[in-house]
Amino acid sequence: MTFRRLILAMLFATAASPIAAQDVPAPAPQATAAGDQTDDGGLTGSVSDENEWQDLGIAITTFATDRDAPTQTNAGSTAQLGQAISQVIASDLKNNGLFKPSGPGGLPQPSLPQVQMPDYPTWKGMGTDMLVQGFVKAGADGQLTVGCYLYDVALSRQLTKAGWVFSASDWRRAAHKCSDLVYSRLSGESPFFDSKIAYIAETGPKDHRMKRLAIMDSDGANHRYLTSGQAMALTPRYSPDYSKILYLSYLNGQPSIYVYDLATDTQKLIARTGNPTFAPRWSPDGKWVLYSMAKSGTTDIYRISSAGGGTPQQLTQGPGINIGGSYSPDGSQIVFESDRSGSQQVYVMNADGSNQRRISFFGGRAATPEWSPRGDQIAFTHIVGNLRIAVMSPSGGGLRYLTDSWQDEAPTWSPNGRIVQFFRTAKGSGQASIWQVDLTGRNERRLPTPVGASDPAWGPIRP
Amino acid sequence: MALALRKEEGLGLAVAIAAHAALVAVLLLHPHAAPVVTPPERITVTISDEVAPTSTSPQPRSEAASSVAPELGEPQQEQAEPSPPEPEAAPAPQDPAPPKPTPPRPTPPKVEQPAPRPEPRKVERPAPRPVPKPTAKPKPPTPTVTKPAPRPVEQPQAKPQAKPQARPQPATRPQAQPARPAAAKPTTRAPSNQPGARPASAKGPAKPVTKPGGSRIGSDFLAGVTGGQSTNRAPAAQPAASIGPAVKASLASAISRQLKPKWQAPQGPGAEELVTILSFNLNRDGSLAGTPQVVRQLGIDDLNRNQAARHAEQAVRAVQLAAPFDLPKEYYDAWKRVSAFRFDKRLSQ
Repeated sequence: MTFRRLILAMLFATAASPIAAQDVPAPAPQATAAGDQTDDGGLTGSVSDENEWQDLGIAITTFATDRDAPTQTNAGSTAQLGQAISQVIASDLKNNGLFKPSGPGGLPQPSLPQVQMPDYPTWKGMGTDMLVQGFVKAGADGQLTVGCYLYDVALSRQLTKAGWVFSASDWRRAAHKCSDLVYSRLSGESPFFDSKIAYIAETGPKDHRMKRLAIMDSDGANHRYLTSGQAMALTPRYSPDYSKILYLSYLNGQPSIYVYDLATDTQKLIARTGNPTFAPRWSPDGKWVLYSMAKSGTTDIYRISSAGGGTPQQLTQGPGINIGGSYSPDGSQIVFESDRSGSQQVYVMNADGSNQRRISFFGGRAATPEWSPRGDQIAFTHIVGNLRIAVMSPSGGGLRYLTDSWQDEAPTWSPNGRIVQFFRTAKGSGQASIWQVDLTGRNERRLPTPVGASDPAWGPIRP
Repeated sequence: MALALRKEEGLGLAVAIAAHAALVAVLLLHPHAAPVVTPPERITVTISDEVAPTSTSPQPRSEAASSVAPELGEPQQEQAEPSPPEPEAAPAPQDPAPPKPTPPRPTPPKVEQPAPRPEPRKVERPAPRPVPKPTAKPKPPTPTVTKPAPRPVEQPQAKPQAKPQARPQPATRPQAQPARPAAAKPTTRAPSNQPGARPASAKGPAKPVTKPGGSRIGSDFLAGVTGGQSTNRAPAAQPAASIGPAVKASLASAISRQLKPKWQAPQGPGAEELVTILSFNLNRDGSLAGTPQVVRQLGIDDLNRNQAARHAEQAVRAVQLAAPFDLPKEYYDAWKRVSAFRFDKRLSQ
């Protein structure tokens, strides 16, 4: 029976897909026909939005629950959890810069039936534009079911909805998923809230700083130190499946590349050559690791299997310092930094090391390039006096500065390629902190970390 | 030497001299004027993007300004004049009201003829049907009703004035008459006149009290409709040949004004480059007919591609929110379809 249903469902899906496919391009022929002669006798005109960019007002109500059941979370019962989840959503959306969330405090609290049928007149009366509602239900086995609904109040219309089942300890992920739902529906972009960040936590005085590997959620919650700080850790990178973290460790003063397995809390040595090694990076499929190694006066980029062992393959052959490869999302190209022309500049080569060419011609120096997960941009540190975060297209055009501070460096991309994270070093004190800015450059904010932070690495979106 | 010439030589010489003299004379007398190439007159060229052989004036016939009441009164007198003298006309209809008004008014047949024509055009069919009937019926009551009110006032003063005015009116009548039926049917006045006219015999006194001016219209709505109703319904009855660019521009800006508070471009990298062009249809009450369609989008690049759909959605939303549009009804033909409305974001720079 279920098998038959499955077949029917698949048949339906395949039958529906061509229809759906036709629906999309249908306006196109009309568009060209009408585009050639825009005046088919009807009225023409234009309207522009000359206001400053306005944040979209979103009301987020406390998530309703069917019964106030205790949960195995630090938030408490499902009713308290409902409030905590909507607070996390409000905080996510607020820090994004595109939205102006309100609530859950000070807003009417919907009952469970109202979650799916909001009282539009009331919300219209309050001047609400968008409305986020949801529910939390505790399952028998400690699982939480969280539903999330987004409504356009002005049009009295439901825009989208979704539901998830998480273990109780992952309740924040449910909130992030709901934030992602709202964000992607209202911005058109891919989600990114439900992701994690690895970074280097810095403590201690400037000349004797302890650097530890740490991870946290994209909003700074669930913070956790991974290494003790006995060995200085640098340049972490999440593996594409979040199972491991690749980083550089100066254990006993010797630079070594380790893979930290998050599931088992064990480490595996990838490369220790005796020579200075830097900047380990994953390939998009997680099978390869790039790193740079200085040997006999030149520094070159090597590739080695992430499983460990094997012979490193040298991708660049000097001259000068070649360092810090970052794969394009499809794995076909690598962007890296080289001073072969006399100063640090950004170069691109094929994944096998062929066809190396310089793409940055902006004056000054360009360092630490990082390919966007969307593939359409490359973020880098532009050094003209100050260090600034900038982006350019993979062909080397369209330079745009995202920040303007004294020392901003080491950009890393959000999973959707719309936000760049970097660390900013304060002038004088040398205190480092992690900041992020969106591609418009308008929304810049500091990420909350318990101690000083540098070398952020944003992981991909979680499934 | 001359003697040496022979006779025929002398003759030839004489002929030659004479011919030369004639040639010189011809040349002198008919000096061939050199063909003077006169440069053509300079023409001032104006480049116009809108050239129409049709009138774009909203009201090609500008009779509307005339006041309603006097016109109405005069045609009655005028019509009354030909048959009997004016003073007589006043009492005459009163006594033999039914017979007299009918003959002097050849207009009713005219009215009846045009009346059925517009019927199919106009939506309100029940209204026109009674029109021919009441036209015949009200004639008796109308003079009775109207005459007492206006005539005592107008007659002493208006007689001399009315006559000259009445004469030119025939010229206007042919124009006005076609307008009457069309205007009278859909208008609110027409129904008010008709029902009023039917029971006029009973309600007659009430009319002049309530509507001193309106009663005149009611009494002679055949002639009176032109002035009064052309102001209201002229575009419907006799629309301008076409609606000009100035009207269209102000209609577009009226729509733009109403959209502006609702239109909010989405934020995002490169979003200011996006332009969405929508088309939508409007009902006569200004509400939206169907859903706005995206005609096309401009300015899409790799950076803002993800936002294009959202941009279009916001534009559609703006139209839906602004929806019942407040636009002048007489130009409905111009704004019933908005074929390309442009939504963009311009940062004030």
